[in-house]
Amino acid sequence: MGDIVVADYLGLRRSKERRVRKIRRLPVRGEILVKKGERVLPTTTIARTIVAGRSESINLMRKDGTSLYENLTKEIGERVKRGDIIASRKIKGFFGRTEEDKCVSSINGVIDFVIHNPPIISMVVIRERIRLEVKAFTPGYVTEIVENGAIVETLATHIQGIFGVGGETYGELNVINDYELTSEDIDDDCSGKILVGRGVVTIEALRKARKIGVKGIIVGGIDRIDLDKLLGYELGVAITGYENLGFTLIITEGFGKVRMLYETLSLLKRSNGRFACISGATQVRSGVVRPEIIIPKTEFSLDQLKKTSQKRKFIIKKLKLGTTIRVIQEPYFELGKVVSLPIELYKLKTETWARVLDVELHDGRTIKIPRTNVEIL
Amino acid sequence: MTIESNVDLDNIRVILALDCGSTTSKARLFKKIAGEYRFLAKGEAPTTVEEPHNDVMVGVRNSISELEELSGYKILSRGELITPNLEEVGVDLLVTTSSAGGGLIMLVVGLMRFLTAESAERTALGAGAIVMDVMAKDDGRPFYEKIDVIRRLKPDMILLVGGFDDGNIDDVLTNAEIIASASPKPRLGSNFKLPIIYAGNVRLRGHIKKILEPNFVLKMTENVRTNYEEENPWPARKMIEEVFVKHVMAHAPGYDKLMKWTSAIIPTPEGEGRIFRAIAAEYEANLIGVGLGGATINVYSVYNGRYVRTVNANLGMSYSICNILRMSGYEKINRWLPFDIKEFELRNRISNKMIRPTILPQTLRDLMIEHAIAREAIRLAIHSHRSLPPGKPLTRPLPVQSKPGEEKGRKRISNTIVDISKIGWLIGTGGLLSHAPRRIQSALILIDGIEPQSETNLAQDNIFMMPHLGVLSKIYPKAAMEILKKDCLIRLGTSISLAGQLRQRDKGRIKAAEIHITYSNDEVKETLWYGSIKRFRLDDGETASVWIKPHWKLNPGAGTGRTFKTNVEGGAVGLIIDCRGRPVQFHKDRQNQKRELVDWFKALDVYPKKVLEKWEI
Repeated sequence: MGDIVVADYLGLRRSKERRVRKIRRLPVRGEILVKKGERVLPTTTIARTIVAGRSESINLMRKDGTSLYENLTKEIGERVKRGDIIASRKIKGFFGRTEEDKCVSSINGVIDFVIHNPPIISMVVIRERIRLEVKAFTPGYVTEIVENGAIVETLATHIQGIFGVGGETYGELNVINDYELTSEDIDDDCSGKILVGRGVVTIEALRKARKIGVKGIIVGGIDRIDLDKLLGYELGVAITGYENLGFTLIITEGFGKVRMLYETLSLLKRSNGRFACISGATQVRSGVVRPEIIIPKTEFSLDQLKKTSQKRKFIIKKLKLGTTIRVIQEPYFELGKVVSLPIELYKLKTETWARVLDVELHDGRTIKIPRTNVEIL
Repeated sequence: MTIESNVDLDNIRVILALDCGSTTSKARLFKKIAGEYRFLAKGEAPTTVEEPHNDVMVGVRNSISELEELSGYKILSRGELITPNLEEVGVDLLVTTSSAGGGLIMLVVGLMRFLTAESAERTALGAGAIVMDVMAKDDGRPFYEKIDVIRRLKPDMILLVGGFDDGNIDDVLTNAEIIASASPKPRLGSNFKLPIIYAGNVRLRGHIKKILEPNFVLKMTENVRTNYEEENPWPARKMIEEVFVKHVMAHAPGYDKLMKWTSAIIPTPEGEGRIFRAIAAEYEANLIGVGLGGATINVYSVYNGRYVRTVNANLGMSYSICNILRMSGYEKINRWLPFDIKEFELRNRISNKMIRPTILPQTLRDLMIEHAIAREAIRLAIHSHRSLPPGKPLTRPLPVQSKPGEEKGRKRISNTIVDISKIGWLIGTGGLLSHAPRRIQSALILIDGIEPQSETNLAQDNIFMMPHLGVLSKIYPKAAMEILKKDCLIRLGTSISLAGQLRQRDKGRIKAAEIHITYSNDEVKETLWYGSIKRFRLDDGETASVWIKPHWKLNPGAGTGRTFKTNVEGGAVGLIIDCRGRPVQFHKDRQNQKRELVDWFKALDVYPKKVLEKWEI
């Protein structure tokens, strides 16, 4: 099928099925372990490398001008662990007792190099070796090899959230239909799963989820104070994805006690029990990144993938009479229908002049809302 | 920047100026009426440089369409610009500023953090860039982390500096190698090479070329820091501006079309900076300007002739609004609110603004929350501006800046410490200030945020057009200054703030000052109590002489306890005399805090009285 993505006023995507393209690459040169056309799983390593980390310099010079250089127990390039003896000799201590004069590594790493130029300097430098890997994240096919990585594509239901924390993870979707996701909704069966709640999630539920080993939580909203409690610090800018929480949290609507949009919940309910890949990475400024929920199709071939058009046809909906919209600002965070689009500016309660529209809410009330404060469904 | 060679400046009748902001594209129309240029109409629409549109022209056309709709003036025909102006249709000149997609995003790479890297940062800021990261040899990060950061940031341009001209070699080349290894891709437009400007040790140009030229657009210019004492930002700044237009804007989505329409395009902060410098020159005064934007807060100072701009890229009224909350704290925001709001509710509201930056406040409470945040944001930005390097008190003077074309090495005294009591003008720009429903709201936000002392003129950008006039001044300075004086710069009035503090319990009980104001045909004599702030009528164009005899511990401008006499000019809000102390003292008790705020707001007529009376205690 063609990729028809319905773009709402803010560009958040909800797509029943589209071709999802992910670039998976290392930050530095490395070994690419996959080939073009290869089928991959989320855990497939696309590329890997070893990079240098911290270094430790160990002084071999002693106060008497001698050096432990001749007593090195390791060679250049040899691996060492924290606590390993790098150099050692027996010396006479107080009262003629034999003691051990030694140098010990405080990090895991490799003997990087040795400098010996007595009496000025004599030292060993140990450098950490860190393994970097990038995984596929979604099941699919490698469609292209790129510098330091590859492009992985899949056919999937694709939903964007408004905000998230935590990195990439995957698991079985488990839709819990309660308004508030509490700790009582979470039990041992939730371990390894991605839970979906219709409304908000409590901090107790989040803590229990982390303890039990839930992989992800997708809800309509969360209180900002609870998010900060979960993170352990106060978030200042919406640039996330690197948090080490133990799971990923995605909110689809906003902060506060907000219900998930019905259309989003329906898509997720339809996918209940299916495997999903989610990412909480968010960047709300230039180069906008929103959290993602990718629910891959179970079976498809590379040919089917290739036949699916990459060009996304956006249906940009414009405001007109009868359009269903959602107001996205307190105190009216709800659905309504456009009944009038006045051209002239209107004076709000704030005394600001703004372009507005008249919205009929579900309870029959008609209110005036600034045009910037709605999103089109 | 290109200039239409066939445009006769004297025959320009209609000018269209655009600002493609990070959230909103703003169109402003100016016309020559009775021999002088005046503002005619405006139009605004969301900026569309990012998905799903990926074309800045959609937002540009929408903003022009709104302008057409509201003014009845035709500018587009089937989506194309009508130029030149004929029979009241079309425009003669189009100029543009841009901070779309977050503006000009730069990465600066130097050697030492508080030497070459810092000079490079100032250079980039002065060119209107947002500096997302400053890398230096001594910043403590391992090379692979730097590579990861370079990749993730996706800057529009990199400024590489380091080494005096006869100085460091190895470390500068190492930095070049790190950039080459990162192989960063440009943010906007994936099919072109990222520009890098090298402004370091000139002896290394050949080596730098070998490392970077194969994969980047490499430009070389004079070293920004040739010795410890002096920095030379102008050649690099000029190059940043040129590269911005030719290489960055030219490849941003839709900008190739915009470049065909416009005669000049510069970063928005560069536009603002030009106008602030023009105002300082025109009035021969020290000034502080604040650009309160959605993504950033820019502070501009022209002090003793020296222009400094600081950008707080993580303080803004939408994208980074939560940073303001984080850095100030709930208590500091709450102290500006005369009503109770629970902390969790305040945090939710502010966080929702962060993730949905385009929403407008619908209730007065929402507006007051935004104003409270604006006050704290300005306080943070001013503190940062006055204490370079960021976060630390200024313990050393900045290096002397050579002027363009000046022979380098001349010794000049550079007084870099901004004395707030010697600031003659405070000027605000940016959506929140320009669109404040009442002028007194923006005046008080500036006063509360900056806490001026003594006599200070207050002004604001009428409807947000300073960047527009800034870019216009590059091509047609006469027109820009005419519009600035007639339609852009709204004189708010004068504030006289008494420096010094008394005790908390002296509020309302001890006289702060005896005031005598003499108008042309009237006079006012009044006693002001400590802790109060008062507004006196003084219309635009009107002057009055003011005589203030202060409490012996307070200083209105002539010295502590000394009588102060001055002639002041009026404006939209008149004359404000602030006896709340410097720094402003707040009641520790929340009930008294709220009561005091209501008193201040009522005394100055900041918000509707009916609403304030509901919160009166």
